[in-house]
Amino acid sequence: MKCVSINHLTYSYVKDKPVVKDFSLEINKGEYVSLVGHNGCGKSTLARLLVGLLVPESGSVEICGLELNNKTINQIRQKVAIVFQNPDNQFIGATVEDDIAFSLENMNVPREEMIPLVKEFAKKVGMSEFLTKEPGYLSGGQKQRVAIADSLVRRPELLILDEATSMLDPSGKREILSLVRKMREENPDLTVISITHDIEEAYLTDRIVLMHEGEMILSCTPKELFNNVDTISKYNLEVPFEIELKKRIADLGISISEDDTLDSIGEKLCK
Amino acid sequence: MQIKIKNLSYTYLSKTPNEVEALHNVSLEIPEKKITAIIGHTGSGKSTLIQTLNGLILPSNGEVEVGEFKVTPNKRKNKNIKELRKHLAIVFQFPEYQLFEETVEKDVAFGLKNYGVKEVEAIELAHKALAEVGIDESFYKRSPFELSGGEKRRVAIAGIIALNPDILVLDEPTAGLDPLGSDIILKLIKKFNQEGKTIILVTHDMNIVLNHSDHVIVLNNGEVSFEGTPNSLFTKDVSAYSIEVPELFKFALSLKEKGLDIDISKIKTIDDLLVQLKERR
Repeated sequence: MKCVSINHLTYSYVKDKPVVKDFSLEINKGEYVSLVGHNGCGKSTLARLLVGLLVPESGSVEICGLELNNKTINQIRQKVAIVFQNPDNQFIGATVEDDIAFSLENMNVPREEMIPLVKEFAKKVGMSEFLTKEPGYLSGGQKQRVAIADSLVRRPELLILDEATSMLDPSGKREILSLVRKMREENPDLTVISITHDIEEAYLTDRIVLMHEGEMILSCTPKELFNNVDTISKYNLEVPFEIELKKRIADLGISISEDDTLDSIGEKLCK
Repeated sequence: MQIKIKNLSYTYLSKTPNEVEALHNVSLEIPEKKITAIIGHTGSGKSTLIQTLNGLILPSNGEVEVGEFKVTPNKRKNKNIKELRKHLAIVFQFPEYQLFEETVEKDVAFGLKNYGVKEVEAIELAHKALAEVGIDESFYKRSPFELSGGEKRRVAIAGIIALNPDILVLDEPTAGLDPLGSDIILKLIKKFNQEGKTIILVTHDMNIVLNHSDHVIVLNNGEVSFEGTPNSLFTKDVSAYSIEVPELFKFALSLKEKGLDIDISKIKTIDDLLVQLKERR
């Protein structure tokens, strides 16, 4: 079943200079897709089009079978949540619990239901001990975890992470990625689109979509992409360490297969 | 210009119930004309430390010596702070958020004009600084807001370079940039260093530490917990500092553990590893 279908979507900020060009893509329910491409290639614009923050010039977006338009936008926004890059720009409440409750207030959830829900989701993201803390006392990773709780408490079907980890330190990054993994285990129907420059993160997703100058270049598994030497060099992509290493070791005349791990390569080298 | 930090402490919101000691009795020397990386997890005191270097924050205790300049807790003793800031300039995280002028050239010239440089000369120096960061003439009259993320960041760095500082401090210079954009910034940093500038980098990216720095300082809870070369850092047990050892280095270490004779101290890039592997075959 489809969660997202994007059909021939085009958008420009300046007339005749489209940032998203005739872009089509389908994403299945429960898929974890990473969207990669250089700064300015249109990734974030695409994300904004998906949640109706921008209105396309032409083409259409369907989320969970509903076509995005004026009539459906509120319904669709209940199904989609987006977490942005800067942890300081999306903390609205005075405290962690207020911030999570804000999402629920917008959905007219009664107070009695709200209290346990806030606790439950704070716990899910590992922020139970910080319920009454103000954002000034939280690290970037903790603030992003709260932002994810804000999103998930609304039980979205689609979670969009727009470079949600790029301003975090390594442990903050790890926190968020393992949280996303845990959320998907708990709810296998949750579809995740992650916009990222972190190639090691993209490597772990189900599918990578490569965007360049507003167009979709390809959509394939991480392994397929990173073994495609021409595409890698044409679009100046970084390659995960494991793939690069395999290639370089194979150049030494040691036979390396797709199934080799860093460990097994090590064994081969020591022989 | 040598940087000597002596018994430096800094407390935020001092004498209030919310006081936090961000730096505790830090003593350091930062080598001249080298690239030094300052690392440590969020809240370890990195940003506080770099802000004391040119007196944006005055120490609660201890002092910082930068060449002939001194930053001490006593405001009146800190002469020529403005002059110091010309010699030791900081490029903050996401500096592109600080661009504000109508055109790229005006933005770069702004800092110079604050130092009393005349408009015409300031624009001329701005053009030179822009050339240094690889931004050509076609950009001079454009609004800084219509540039890409990587271009904006280079313009912001040009604004600092225009002052021709001896010491350049950069806080997370590659955060949020794509691989190509990062690469351009890192090459620039290397170039500035080769031209004789001392570079201090604050970063979370251990690959940058391994590939690009000569010296590393690890801060942990406001104290210095390590000082030395990147290779000696990654050979240690770093789990306590929340540092991710670069994949390449981990792999090289695992080969050594498996009995392969690898000289860990020489490994900075995958090429270095391959050279050694070839020699041993």
